[in-house]
Amino acid sequence: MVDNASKPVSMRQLLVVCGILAVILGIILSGAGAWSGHRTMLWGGISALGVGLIWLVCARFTRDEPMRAEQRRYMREFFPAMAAYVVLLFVSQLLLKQVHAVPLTVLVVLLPVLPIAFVVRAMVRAVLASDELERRLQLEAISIASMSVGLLSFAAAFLRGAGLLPIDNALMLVLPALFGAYGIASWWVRRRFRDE
Amino acid sequence: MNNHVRELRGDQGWSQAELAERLDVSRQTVNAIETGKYDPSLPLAFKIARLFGRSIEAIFVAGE
Repeated sequence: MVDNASKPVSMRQLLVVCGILAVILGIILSGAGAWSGHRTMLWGGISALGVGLIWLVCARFTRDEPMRAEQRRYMREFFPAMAAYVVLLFVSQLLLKQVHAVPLTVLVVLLPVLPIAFVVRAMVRAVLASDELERRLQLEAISIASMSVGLLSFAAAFLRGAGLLPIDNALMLVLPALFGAYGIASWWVRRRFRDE
Repeated sequence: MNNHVRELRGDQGWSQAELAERLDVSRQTVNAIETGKYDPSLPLAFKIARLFGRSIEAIFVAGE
């Protein structure tokens, strides 16, 4: 039974709060980046702004109902890891100018990957804790996302080989592209299970 | 496959969320079963049957 006085936070409420925070952070960082000419800060800000707007749009299409225990655990693991990623991304960029020894440079460069490993862990735990229908939908979404990104990467590699795609750091885009494609695929496979 | 899950849930006075909690699945899964968009696995069908004190055949009806 759900007691209204202690009603657990809903996915929609969480998305709205996090979306607003990400948009504010994005505006501050992109403004500071543009003002100081710091490109990483500028792009970090634009990314936060984009993610925040996506969360706000997702909130619009999310039912205002309490999250299940597994969803709450996922949120508890996902958001701190993402926050740690943002912090470590800047720490890593700042430290990179100070270190010169190769082993230490490798450590500093890979610093932001650590929280993303926790994001991936949170996602795997969420999939393993989901029910049978949810697992089926996750499998369909992950299959569509991974094959789409794989196909696009394959095509991009040919274009890059022919000198037609001026992207230097293409590998960096694979994981964010997977997350983005998974989000879109997840929405698409769930369309037929919308409430009646 | 058709089923009587919605009527049986209504008889008990449970919401979809309450039934989902008792079955340890999401509310969306209960909704998908009730609307015939998703046929549950045999273990989940047995769980549903046990919860309502009926046989599987009394709840789930094979379609044409």
